[in-house]
Amino acid sequence: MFLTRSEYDRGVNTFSPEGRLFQVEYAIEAVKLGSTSIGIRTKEGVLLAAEKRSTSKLMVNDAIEKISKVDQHVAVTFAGLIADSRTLVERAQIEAQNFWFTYNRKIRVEDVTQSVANLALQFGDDDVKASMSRPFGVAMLFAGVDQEGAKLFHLDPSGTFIDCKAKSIGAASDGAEQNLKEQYHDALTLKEALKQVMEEKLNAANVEVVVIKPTTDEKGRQIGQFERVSDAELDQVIAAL
Amino acid sequence: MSNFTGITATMNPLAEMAQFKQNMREVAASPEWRTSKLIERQRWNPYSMEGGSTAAISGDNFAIVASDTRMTQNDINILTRDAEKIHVLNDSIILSTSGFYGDVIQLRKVLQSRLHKYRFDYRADMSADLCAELLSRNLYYRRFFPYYTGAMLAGIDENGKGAVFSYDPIGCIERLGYSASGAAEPMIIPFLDCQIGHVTVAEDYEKPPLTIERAISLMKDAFRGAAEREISTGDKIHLVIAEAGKPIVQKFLPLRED
Repeated sequence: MFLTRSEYDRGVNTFSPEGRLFQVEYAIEAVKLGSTSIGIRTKEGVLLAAEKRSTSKLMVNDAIEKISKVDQHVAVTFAGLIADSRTLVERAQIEAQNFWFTYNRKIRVEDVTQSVANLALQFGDDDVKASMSRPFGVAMLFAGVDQEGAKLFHLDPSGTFIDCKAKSIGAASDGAEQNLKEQYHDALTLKEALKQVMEEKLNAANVEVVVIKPTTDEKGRQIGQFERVSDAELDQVIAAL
Repeated sequence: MSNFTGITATMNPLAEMAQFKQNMREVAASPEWRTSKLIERQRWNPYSMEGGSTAAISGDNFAIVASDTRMTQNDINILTRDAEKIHVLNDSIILSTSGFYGDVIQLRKVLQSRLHKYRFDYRADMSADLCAELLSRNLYYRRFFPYYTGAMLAGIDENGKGAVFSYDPIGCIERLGYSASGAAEPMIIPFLDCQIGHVTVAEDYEKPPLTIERAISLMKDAFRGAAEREISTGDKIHLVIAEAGKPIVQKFLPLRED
């Protein structure tokens, strides 16, 4: 696919005669270099799990945060160029707070994703308008619970986002997704989902897990609650496998 | 008590009288009305009040809003008999206003454009609950040069219930069963307190439930009463009826024109 190099993979927003934007496609490839993340949507809430790859035993693994909190009810995990994700996560956080400030209501998960998707395409090689000179090299999984229920969205560097039941991104995503396709069913519980994730993702504390469980706010509306799954709970699940 | 000196011990009647005379001379030389009050009167006022009144009632599955359509200058001079003070923003949101009509137009435009953009951003019509909060924020943005609008927001909320939100000029928001604003507010509120709130009637007084028919007829009575006694209210009643699951209905009814 990339052997046919041409002039068209230089300009970030120039179509090739075959109708392709090479830099965007390369950015999608960059995602596959990142560590793996998984999201699973169940009736009891949404689960995000991220592998924390440690390249050296001198590295402090606890310091890496692969799942970020966007708001009380929305979490996001990412694969690819982690530094790029900071900009996008910040946009999501600002957008969520802005909605809450203006309307005194928690933003829908889809709308957070949409606002980040808008930013994902704002690249270009002119200095004036564009905030970013190249596409963002990250894919993201937005998980949350809003009035409409549990939600999981996959966003890729092209700014496309898709509503998913379960999704995997990053290096081992193909294998993980194959497993998810075989194992997923609509009546999945959070506990089963967690077990599923740990089977995929190997051993002990090099994995980070967040669940968003449905709860109600002070006005009785459905909303999510962000919860990090502790190492102790993870160890329990692993022991039970 | 023996060593109590009191006020009398420190007073010197002669010095006090001299001070009083001095003050009198100063006041006579430059009376207050010639200075501060004169300046006050000449200062330009950014606001004007075009009179008129508006009221809103919410029920279990409906909200009705009414206003008169008279616009006056200095309460006496009628500028127009067809000023619309109720603005239907979408299928479930009604903005009703009184006060300074220039601010009313601006506020309506601000809300309309926000509602329009909301449709594109979130692919849905804004609900009355959200618009109520939005209006509150927008009023507070002008904390130090407020919109003088006496705004109220009414409509059908997300649960299909009637809703009336009342505001002060800087966005303090309150959801109420009924509310009024404008020139005849001090007359309409006690009437509604009596008839709907039942707060000023005896324990054993008949307290009929609030149906949409009753709400409409109470609203007409309130405005007929107001037009009778308040000179900047009159000409026509603009009646807007929102009922859950039905399109908004607007009516104009005659009112005193003098």
